[in-house]
Amino acid sequence: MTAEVNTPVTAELAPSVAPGRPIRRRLSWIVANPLPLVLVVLAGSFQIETGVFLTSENLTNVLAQSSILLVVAIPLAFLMLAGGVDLSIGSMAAIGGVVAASLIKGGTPELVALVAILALGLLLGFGQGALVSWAGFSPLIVTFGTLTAGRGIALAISPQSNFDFGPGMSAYGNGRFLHIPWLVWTAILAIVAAEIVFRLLPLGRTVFAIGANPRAALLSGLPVRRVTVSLYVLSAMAATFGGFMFIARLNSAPAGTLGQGLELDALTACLLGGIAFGGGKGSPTGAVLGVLTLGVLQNGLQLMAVPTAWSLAVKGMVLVAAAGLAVVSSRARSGR
Amino acid sequence: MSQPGLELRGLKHAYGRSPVLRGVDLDVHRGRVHALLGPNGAGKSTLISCLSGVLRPQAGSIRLGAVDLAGRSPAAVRHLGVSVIYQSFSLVDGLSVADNIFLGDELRRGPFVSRRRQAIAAAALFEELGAPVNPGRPVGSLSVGEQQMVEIAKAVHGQVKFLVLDEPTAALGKSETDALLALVRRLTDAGVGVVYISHHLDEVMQIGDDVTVLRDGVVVDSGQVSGYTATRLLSAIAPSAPAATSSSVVDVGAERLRVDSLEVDGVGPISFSVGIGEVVALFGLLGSGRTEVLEAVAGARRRTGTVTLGGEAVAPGSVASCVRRGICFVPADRRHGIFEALSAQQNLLAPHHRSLARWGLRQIGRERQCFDTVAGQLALEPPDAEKPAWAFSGGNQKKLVVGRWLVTSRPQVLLLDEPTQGIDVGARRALHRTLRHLAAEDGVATVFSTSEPAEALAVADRIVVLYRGGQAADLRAHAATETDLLAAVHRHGVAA
Repeated sequence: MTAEVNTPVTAELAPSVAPGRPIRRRLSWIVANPLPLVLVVLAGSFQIETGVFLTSENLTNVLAQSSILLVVAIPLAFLMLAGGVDLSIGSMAAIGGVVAASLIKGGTPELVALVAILALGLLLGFGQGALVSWAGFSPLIVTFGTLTAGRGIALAISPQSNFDFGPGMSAYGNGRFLHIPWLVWTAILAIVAAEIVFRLLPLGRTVFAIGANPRAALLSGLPVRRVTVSLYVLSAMAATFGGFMFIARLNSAPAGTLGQGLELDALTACLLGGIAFGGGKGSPTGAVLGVLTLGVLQNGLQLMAVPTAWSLAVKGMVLVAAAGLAVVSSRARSGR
Repeated sequence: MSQPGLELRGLKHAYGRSPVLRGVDLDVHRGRVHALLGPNGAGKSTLISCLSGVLRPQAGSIRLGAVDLAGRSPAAVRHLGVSVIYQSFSLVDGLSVADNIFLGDELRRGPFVSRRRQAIAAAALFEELGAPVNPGRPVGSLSVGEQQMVEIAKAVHGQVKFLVLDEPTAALGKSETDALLALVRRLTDAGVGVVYISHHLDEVMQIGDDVTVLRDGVVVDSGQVSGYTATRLLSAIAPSAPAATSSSVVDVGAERLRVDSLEVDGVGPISFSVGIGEVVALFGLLGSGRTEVLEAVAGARRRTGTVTLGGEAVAPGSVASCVRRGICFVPADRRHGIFEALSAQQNLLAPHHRSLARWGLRQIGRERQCFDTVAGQLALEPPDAEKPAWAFSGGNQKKLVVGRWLVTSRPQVLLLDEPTQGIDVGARRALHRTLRHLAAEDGVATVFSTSEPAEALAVADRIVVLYRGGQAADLRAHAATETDLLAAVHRHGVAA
């Protein structure tokens, strides 16, 4: 019984759980999953403060701004659930973006360019996964190294930034289908796929098991290495695809700044969503809610014309506050 | 004894709505060993957590003279002279033995840590304890037995009055166990009161002065050890446990698993075969290579030599392919088998989510059905699918790990490393019966490792004796005696 860590909370909560259970249970669910409430509170206060937050136009805008982050944060969530991490997302996006940009400017059809950068992501992710999984390198070091190296490679490929990729790209980056931007449709597709994998496919359980105890997973005969490598591949492919979404939306591909800081935003979203470093805890749904929380926060602060310096500070504090809630909720849960 | 003892009165504790301690009294006297016995889940671990200050008991008192320890912090309890040594050590692998002993309480010279003073003090401490450990070595390089000694030295280096040992010999071989028991004797001679938790009745009879048997959170028997026989203690711990399974002479079917000149990590060459429905014991002491051999056959270690299943070669180095062919492995260390944070159901079904799926989709109802069936077969307690694994008692966690291989179909070959390590008499016998049953009814070829001659003789059909990484003998169990096993080890030891 390793979890008998002293928690005064445990002793006090335990006997009082029995009476009035439904309400208590709902309360403890909210403590354990605070993000939906946080989202509602944030949206409500921004609406009161600005009067324009809860318009369909602005909400669409929030989703559009969040779509790229969603696409890269969901694979990261799976990777983190399995105990890994990917800090190279920003640079991978840059590589994907500039390679796609050069190909398209060189006359390659958009779809072919897309396939090419997905293949590139596959190769790069496989390299990272192989180093981590087979050679036993630390994922922090491997992907942190790739973050720096990748930015350099992106700059080398495309010293001047390309722009203006034609009507096809701008239709995807800024056009809509059924009033909803194509980018948002892309993100919705990612969310649905994630939920299916996590809840309905055996793979979701395997990912969880690897994060909870890699040794036990191996001895249970689960394909630990293959799955781990696949998750790095998936994360890298999502990142290069994120780069493609970026250039479609911006209609330019600045190698120096494309996707910069994307990995930190994705990491923040996953942590906010209750996915623990080291794995075995959380769900991709959490990461989605984490991204939306960040998106709402960013958009609301923009509407209120809060200076960037302050909005960064608020973002950081939200993360720390969420971590605090996670501690409280895990104590509350171990009491039952 | 004029010095005050440790008096526990009416101790109660519950996790949520399930009470674990229901009013426990216990007296520990200075200079005596108080053995605490009981099946898994009896509340022993909770009791010592209350004693050490890790848990605050919900009712009752823990008096040491005029002081009530209940609810004090672990640091305060330690300061008052009560030290607890858990099964999982609290040592830092990278630090030296001396550094570990004085961690948090460093001997200084001015503001600086004095390595020299610590080394001298540690050496003196080991001298006094009669434990031959070099204080300069990093703890990570020591054997489990030596680490246990360091843990004790760390606990007693201050002014310890009471020492609680939670299954200190669970991972030790014979000679290390003897050394540990001698060390405990020295401590009591010096006036230390010891609470000694163990599943080994022989140790208790040998070293205990007083004994208390705990079951379902209450004291069911208590008194001086001299007034008890091992049989009476046994019936107090496990009243319904039937006699140990005796291995009858069974008809062993055709050969199923064959291991030929297997070599792994300095162990080998080892060769043996297991027939359909046969149970083979790998008997050997700590460091004999039991674990290496089993893990190599299971695909978890690189090996040379050949392993064949039903005449076909098994590729080395892949657990997954071994599992697919029905070679299943249960590790000795629970922590290598259990997914602590995951639910009981996820633990049992970990390798099966894919095979239970239909059209690639998980079948939630079918998964639950499988869990219920296996939980029933194993008498998992409580049979709660959603409860996280860490919240189960040690014996029930073991059931989750073993039960993993009984879910959809029976394994062809079942490999178990020290399957009964750290589980109580009742659970041990239940496991023995399960193994025999699987072999007899389903023809499972079973190999388990053990360091207890009696267990090997009682459960196995054949016994392969390992000694320091070599194969010392291959005996038929019904014709062998405990003396034969020890002699095999001994002869080999002399020859080598």
